[in-house]
Amino acid sequence: MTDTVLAAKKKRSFWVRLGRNMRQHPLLYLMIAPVILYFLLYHYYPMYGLSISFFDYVPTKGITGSKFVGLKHFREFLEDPYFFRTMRNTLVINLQLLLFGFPIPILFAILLNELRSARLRRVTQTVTYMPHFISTVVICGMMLDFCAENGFITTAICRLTGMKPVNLFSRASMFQPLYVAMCVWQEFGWDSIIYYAALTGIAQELYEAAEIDGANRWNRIIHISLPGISQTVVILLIMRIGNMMTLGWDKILLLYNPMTYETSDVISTYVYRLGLTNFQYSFATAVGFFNSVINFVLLILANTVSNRLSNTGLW
Amino acid sequence: MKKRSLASIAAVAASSAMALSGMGVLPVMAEEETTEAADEDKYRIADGDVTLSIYCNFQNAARAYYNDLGDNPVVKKIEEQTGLNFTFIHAPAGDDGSYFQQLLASGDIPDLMFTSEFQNSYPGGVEGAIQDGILMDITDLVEQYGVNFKALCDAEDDPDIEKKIRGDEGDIIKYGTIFLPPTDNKKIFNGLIVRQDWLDKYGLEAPVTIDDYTHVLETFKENGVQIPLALCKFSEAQFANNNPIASAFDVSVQDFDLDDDGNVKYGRSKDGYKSFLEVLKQWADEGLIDTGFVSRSIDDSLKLFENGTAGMCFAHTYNVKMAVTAGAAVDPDFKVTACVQPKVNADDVTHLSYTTHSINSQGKFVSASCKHPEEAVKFIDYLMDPDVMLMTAWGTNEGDNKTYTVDADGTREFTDFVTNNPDGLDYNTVRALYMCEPFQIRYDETMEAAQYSLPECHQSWDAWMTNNDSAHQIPNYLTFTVDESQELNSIKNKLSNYSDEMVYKFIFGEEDLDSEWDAFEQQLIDLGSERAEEIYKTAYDRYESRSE
Repeated sequence: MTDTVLAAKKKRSFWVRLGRNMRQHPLLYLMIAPVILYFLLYHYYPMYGLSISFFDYVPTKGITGSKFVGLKHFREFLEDPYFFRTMRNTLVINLQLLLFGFPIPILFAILLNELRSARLRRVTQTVTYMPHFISTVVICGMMLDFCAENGFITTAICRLTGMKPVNLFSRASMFQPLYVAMCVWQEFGWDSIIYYAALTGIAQELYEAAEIDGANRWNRIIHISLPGISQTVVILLIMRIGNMMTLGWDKILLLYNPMTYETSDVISTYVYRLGLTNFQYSFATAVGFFNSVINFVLLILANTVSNRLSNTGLW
Repeated sequence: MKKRSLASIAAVAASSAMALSGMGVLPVMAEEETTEAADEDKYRIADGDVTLSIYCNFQNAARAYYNDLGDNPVVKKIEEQTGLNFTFIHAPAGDDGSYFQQLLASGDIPDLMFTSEFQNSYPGGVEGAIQDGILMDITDLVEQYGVNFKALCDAEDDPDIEKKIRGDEGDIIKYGTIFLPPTDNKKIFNGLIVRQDWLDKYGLEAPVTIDDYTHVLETFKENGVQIPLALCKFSEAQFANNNPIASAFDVSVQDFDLDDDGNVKYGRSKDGYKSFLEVLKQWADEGLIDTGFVSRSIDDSLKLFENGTAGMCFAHTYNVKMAVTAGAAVDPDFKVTACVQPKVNADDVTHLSYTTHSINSQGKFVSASCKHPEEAVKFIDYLMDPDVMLMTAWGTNEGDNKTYTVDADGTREFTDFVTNNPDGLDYNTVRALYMCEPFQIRYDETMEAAQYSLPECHQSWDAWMTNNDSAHQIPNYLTFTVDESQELNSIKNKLSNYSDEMVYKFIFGEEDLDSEWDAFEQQLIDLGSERAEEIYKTAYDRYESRSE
């Protein structure tokens, strides 16, 4: 009894305080209002839709009119014969992207930073951004052409290894390396921008002081450049891990074929083949839900680990 | 599947008038206009007080000129004649089919939907959508107002017509479907084509049996043809509907099919399928087909054929016509011939090619939430009026831009405005701007004839229809209950998901055909192939026993 009264009192006092604060700074609250509204409308309200994963959803009947089936769709997904394979591919491909796609932009930004000639630097930057602006469909089309039986990538690899030319995208063992290489090539220039920006933010005096103390280039990179951007690196790493399960499946969809399902079929492409073409709203939502939960767990894990190790985190 | 073949017919009709260019005909139109004026009230359905929202196709060629189909002169004329107002909802250009699903999921359903989705992919088909409260059961209204629909059905002269337009419950589910001219009925539009000039050069006969094919392809290979046979991936709708090579062994490439006794079997679980794979495996081993085909579209294989990389490929009659010009640009000696569907013995009859016919999965549907069902049904029937069908196919023919002429014996021809447009618009664009294909009910004989005037096109029908029919294809008129279709879809997804991969691996030797085949068949059964056969069989029996 007293607890609830206390709670009510406390709650009221929060609202009272909020009201007072709002009267004091009306402009600040006005400025934040659209942002809050945006998140409520576009990020929180739609979560209500996740509930259709527990029903056999029929649009005209609405959520309340559809049949409640509990975890049926989740079970269906987990019991699927290909669940393990798609799950494995999703994780393995994403881990490879992380392993190669994450450090390369950092190294590239550092190299750029060391370039003396401003002009050469600008040219290099422009050239490496370029692939980022080519549409996914075009990039994948190019890739398929280059890796066809007489494509130049195939020819190059075959000349080097003495192997018989075949369509590289018909080999399950080739899919992941090709895919990862393509993604890294397309994005490393663009991804390096933020690191480069962080590098230029490091005070030049530090470099000068180190130079006077006799530090060579290598020492300066290790002791000034890297620590200077470590916060940026960690935060981007955590955000990247949080997105792991949802990365770029459209490219996979454009590149794969039944011959390479073994290594290329990820959760999203599998659901696309299985569910989305057959009005299976609930099943697709269940898988999306499942995906988000895993993402959420990964994000929290990454943040906790980072907090422990380096005292840097998103929160 | 149906949708795809109709699309190709549409593409065909769309490009038909090219052949007509240059035939100057006198414009004589005055008479028609007066009769139209007299009939003004005949078409009246409302007095401007009824608005119907329509979901339908909107041709890409028109998008740069019109906001939506409402700007089309034919539609304006229709609004004028009927007194109805329309608003339009179109899927965005390049939509992959998901727009329609979102439209239904939004719960804000248009009054009228012109689509094949209900019959092709909605769980339970049209009847399922009626049960779910998305579509209205308009059977009684059609019986009452569907005068023109009845006339069209009667004109089909098909004893099974009542079975075809109704579902298992007796509801009319094919209202507003598309009718083909009688000349197109039962034709086979797809098959294999070969370079005739190369056959001549190497002293070969056009192949008939599988062994003939192997011999021709080997000879091509020996003479340096890079890809003797450029196949396309099996999931290409036209390929899967016509089952070349596989039909020699009486199996379909990826579907269920019938046998002589009306039993349903999953093609890939039959022994014949193993023989089919053995042939392809042999061809792959000898380099007669390439690994690239597993992700190749029909269009891509045609390009290889046209530029001389390939000696043989799979094509549509329309492609034959296109190849004649495209190929000649690369090689002046280029000549194309359609081949008889491969057979095991020269006089075998194969039964698994798709034949075109009226009454298909395209339909015009009234939603359950429509406020004016009576007007909606009357409007769809109005589209089936002979004069209106003429207008949607050939244009209004009013104003300065006459689109066609009629000569004394009633033959219509497009004017120069269409075939050789003064503003430089290509034929497809003119057609999208001045005619109204999304509202078109009947495909036109004259247009079709002009389209396929080349002897190569006629030869392709002769070749592909030689000892070849559709007797073992499951009719497209079956309907499934909601439960059946959900179960069936789920099984079919699993089957194709597993077997697509395995089939290609068998062909390229990554799985051993001899040792792994039994396990493969067992796995298909484990995934539910027999249950799916049962569902098909029940639905087929229901179709057979539909009351007249």
